[in-house]
Amino acid sequence: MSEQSVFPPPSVSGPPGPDTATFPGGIPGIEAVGLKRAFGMVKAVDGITFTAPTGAVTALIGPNGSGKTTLLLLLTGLLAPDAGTARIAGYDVTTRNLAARSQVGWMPDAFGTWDALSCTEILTTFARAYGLSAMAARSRVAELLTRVHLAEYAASPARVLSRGQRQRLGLARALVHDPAVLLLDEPASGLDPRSRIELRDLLRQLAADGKAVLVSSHVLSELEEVYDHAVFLSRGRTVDVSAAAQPQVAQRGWRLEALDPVALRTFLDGVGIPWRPGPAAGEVTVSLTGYDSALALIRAAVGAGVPLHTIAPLSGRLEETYLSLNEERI
Amino acid sequence: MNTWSFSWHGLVTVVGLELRQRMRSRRLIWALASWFVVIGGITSLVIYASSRLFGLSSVEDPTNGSTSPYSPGPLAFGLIVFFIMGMGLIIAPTFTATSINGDRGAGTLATLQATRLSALEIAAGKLVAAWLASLVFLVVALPFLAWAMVLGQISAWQVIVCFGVVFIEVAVVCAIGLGWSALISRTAGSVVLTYLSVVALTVISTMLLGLLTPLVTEERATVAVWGLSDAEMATYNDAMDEYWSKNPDGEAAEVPAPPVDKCTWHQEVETRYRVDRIWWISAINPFVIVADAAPLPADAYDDLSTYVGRSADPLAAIRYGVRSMALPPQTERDDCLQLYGWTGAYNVFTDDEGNVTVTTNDGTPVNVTTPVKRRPVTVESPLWPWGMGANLLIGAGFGFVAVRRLRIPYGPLPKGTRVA
Repeated sequence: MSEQSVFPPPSVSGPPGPDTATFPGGIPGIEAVGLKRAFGMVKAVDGITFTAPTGAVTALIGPNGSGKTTLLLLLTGLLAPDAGTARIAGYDVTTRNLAARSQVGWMPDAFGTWDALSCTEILTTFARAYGLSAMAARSRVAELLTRVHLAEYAASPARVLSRGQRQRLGLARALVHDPAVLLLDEPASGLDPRSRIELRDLLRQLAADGKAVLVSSHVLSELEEVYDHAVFLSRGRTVDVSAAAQPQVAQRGWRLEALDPVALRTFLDGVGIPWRPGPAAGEVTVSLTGYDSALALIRAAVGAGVPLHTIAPLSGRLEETYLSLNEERI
Repeated sequence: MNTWSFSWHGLVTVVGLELRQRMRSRRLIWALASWFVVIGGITSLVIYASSRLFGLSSVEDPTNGSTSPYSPGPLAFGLIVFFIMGMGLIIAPTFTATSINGDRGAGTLATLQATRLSALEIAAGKLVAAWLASLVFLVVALPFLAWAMVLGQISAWQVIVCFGVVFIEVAVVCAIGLGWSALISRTAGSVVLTYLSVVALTVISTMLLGLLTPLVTEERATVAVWGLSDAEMATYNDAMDEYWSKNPDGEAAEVPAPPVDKCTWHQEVETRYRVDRIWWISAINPFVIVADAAPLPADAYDDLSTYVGRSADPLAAIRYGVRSMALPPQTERDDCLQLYGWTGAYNVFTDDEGNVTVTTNDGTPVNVTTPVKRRPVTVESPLWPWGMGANLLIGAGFGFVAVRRLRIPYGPLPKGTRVA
């Protein structure tokens, strides 16, 4: 059990601050070791180990029922783990629950709002609940409403907000106490394309501010452009992430299109690359290993005089891995 | 692990949130307005009805400025206090009985629990907010209570005490609702259980008293009876039979005098109901608590029985009734004075305390004495602190349950409970 030497068991009577001794390079935002949690007979989380560093966006990916939401509840300090430990900014979520909670900004999947309260009142209530003074809360709330583009709805009751606006309010709520760690459950759901791009920029900005950002999402194309690390879950466990970490060595599907489809197919047959007809007429798909192979194919095709005008990966790295997880589940 | 930590800041945050969320609606204004109209109507009707029962209003004696004891005030005041208490017990659960499970369903509880707020602050904040909301309804009733107070010449002290008791009982019911809303995951279930708890305190406790009476019955209890011996009784019966056979319509003047001078002590066996062993069940009833706590006019303490009789004050009547139940049954009985009643020439009155008065049919009092000791109903030691103490303990228990159920991080979850 080499893990135990890296992560010594937490001590209740330990020093008041986070334990920095074991992390010379700085405390990771989130570190989970062997986390387990069952509901009755259902093992929702059954051995999750990962680290989410500060200053980076970590994607949390897995099919429905893989334990994403339960993992987030464990990390918010709402659920006690059956086994294993989790630390938020160095604070154990079980033994230093309040300190860990104070460092977490949590945006749940289904964010309920008090529909009789205005956006300002909701955010102010949470600022106060996190211990901010009335004056600090006021300026912080005004700043956040501007940041998530809800300033014009400051005095409106939450019930008039659209789903996307609610999501943005939920994000502002998670940021109200300037937490070191952000746990975002499906933050992009319900957002229009422009808001998604803004969310992406905001996440990058928060990571640049030194926060550890953990994002779970099904909108993988959004994560593709923002994540630094990925954690894959399947059946409550973290799975081997080598496929996502080194996407260039994995086989991927590529889409090819040429002005003369027959010439393209003849060329592929000639060089011995197996192909399938693509979704659109004239398209073909081939399986290649990494960008180097793609480059070699382009050079050869152009050199052979094939009027090739499009070559693109069929899907993102995350999507490929996600689909391979689904296959594994079946 | 700050389940039990508490700060004023945290409490105010939760109270402010709850009041804004639950009180800021147009419906509440309408509810308050209709409540004002209803209680106004009820008060007017109660005062009118009381006046009709007792003459038009309290009568002032012009010679010395004292008022007649026959005033409708105490009756009207008592009925209005009971009405407000009843409405308070009905309104209070609506503010807390879905407070925790409802928020859980709406997805607003978990985000609040995830903040720095402690479980105690969340539970206490919800309780205080619900209590304040219920108080708004009670305060709307104040003008009408003041009306009954002025009309009935009720002391301000009595008004304050009665209102204070209602306030506390409403807080207890709020805590019960909060506890059920933490225990039961479905809002419909917690509402039903909260109302059942209110019914248990009021109606079921009273029913229980009656249903338990057979269990505390003494079949063969010995009592000392002051009356005629069997032989003397036979003699008197013969004399009466002879009289009735000669005067079937009972109009002749010469009725054989009851031989009260021949009465002696003897033992008899009878069935007794030892309600004094179970009377305390009624002490947890909020209506009994308010009745027992209500201050009485100074002269009523000396003779509660008479005061109840002349004032028809329902508060004093309940207080008197509960205290009568608490008295052990009489071990002595006077059958001798009852002999007057046999002849048809006298009227015999026995009150709850065993005082017997005898008059002739035309109302002239007859001087009678009895060796049986009077059993006075005293109001010296108050009962209400016990009842209210029990109620506060129940409320504290439910409050404790609510805090325990809000404690995070959650260990094993009860079936059907969701975190968020």
